[in-house]
Amino acid sequence: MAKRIQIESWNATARTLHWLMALLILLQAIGGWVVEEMDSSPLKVDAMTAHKSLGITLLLLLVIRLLWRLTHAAPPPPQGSKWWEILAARLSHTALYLLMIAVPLSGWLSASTSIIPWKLWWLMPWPRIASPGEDLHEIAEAVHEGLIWALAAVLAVHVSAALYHRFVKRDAVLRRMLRGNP
Amino acid sequence: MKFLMVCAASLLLAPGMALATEGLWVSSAADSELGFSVWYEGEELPGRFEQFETRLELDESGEPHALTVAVEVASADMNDRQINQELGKPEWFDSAAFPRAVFSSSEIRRAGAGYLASGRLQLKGIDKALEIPLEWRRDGDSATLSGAVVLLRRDWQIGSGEWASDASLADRVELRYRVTLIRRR
Repeated sequence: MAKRIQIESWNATARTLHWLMALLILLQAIGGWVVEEMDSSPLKVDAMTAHKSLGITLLLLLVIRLLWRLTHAAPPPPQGSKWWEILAARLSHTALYLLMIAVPLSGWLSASTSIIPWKLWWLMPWPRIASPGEDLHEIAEAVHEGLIWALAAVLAVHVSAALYHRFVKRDAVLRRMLRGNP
Repeated sequence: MKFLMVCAASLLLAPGMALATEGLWVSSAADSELGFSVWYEGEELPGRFEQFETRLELDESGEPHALTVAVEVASADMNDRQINQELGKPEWFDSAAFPRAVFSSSEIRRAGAGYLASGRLQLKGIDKALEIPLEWRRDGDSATLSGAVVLLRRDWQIGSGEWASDASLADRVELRYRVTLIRRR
């Protein structure tokens, strides 16, 4: 593999992908919860199609983001970071990436094992990764829900850490993702 | 057991049926299928009824004469537990209030190579005329009855309220049947 590009701060591509996905994940979480509570109706089916479409969109955005990340090294930790801070950042960022793959994948499996037809943004038929089946569908739904809670937990750590850097350590970590200049 | 008694009762109540007949044929549940398809945004979604019973009377000349089909609507299975549960609700089959759908023929006549049974379908408390094409193949004391018919779900208010529109879920429903009948007498 070619040497990764070393950057001092997150560039515009990285920042755009980060905040776009942050916004869409928040929308997706609220939307998914609302759809789940809706009574059966054609509107619910459409709301579910939107939820499935946004999930697949997030998965595709994550692929782009991972490609970017594989070709660019992350900015270095702030000077004077302790070993456990660096380790915690590593672990939580890895967990976030894994969960951002696993949550939409489990949703995709859940959509695949249901008989309800849908198209990506009502336009494009989207392939199934399993055939419809009741038992697998129930497992997929349970896994999807469990992973969402795991993602919420790691996101809480992520946001807390950003605020810790900004207000306790008063370093450049949050600013690097907000404005780009270190 | 209760189901069989209701079937027997409905048979006795059908006028003239028990009189001028040559034989009674009853479906064998294990070898019989009653399938259906609906279309959601153009995509076909198949399902089936797991519990139903078919009774056919033949006349003196051995021709199909009277047909009764009783279907337990709660046995509808679309291979999706959530949808199966939905189907029992008042908007759909309302299976608590109307557990059984019954088709009873008033006349069966020859039509091409097969037969056409005219009668009424009582479903969700609504009684409407329906004609059912039948292929009848007899082999000694067993026989098959098969065919397909398209009906409109709005005629029996299957899918009411927000589901009444055919904008996403088509009005037409196809029923397919292949029933193995065993001679009872």
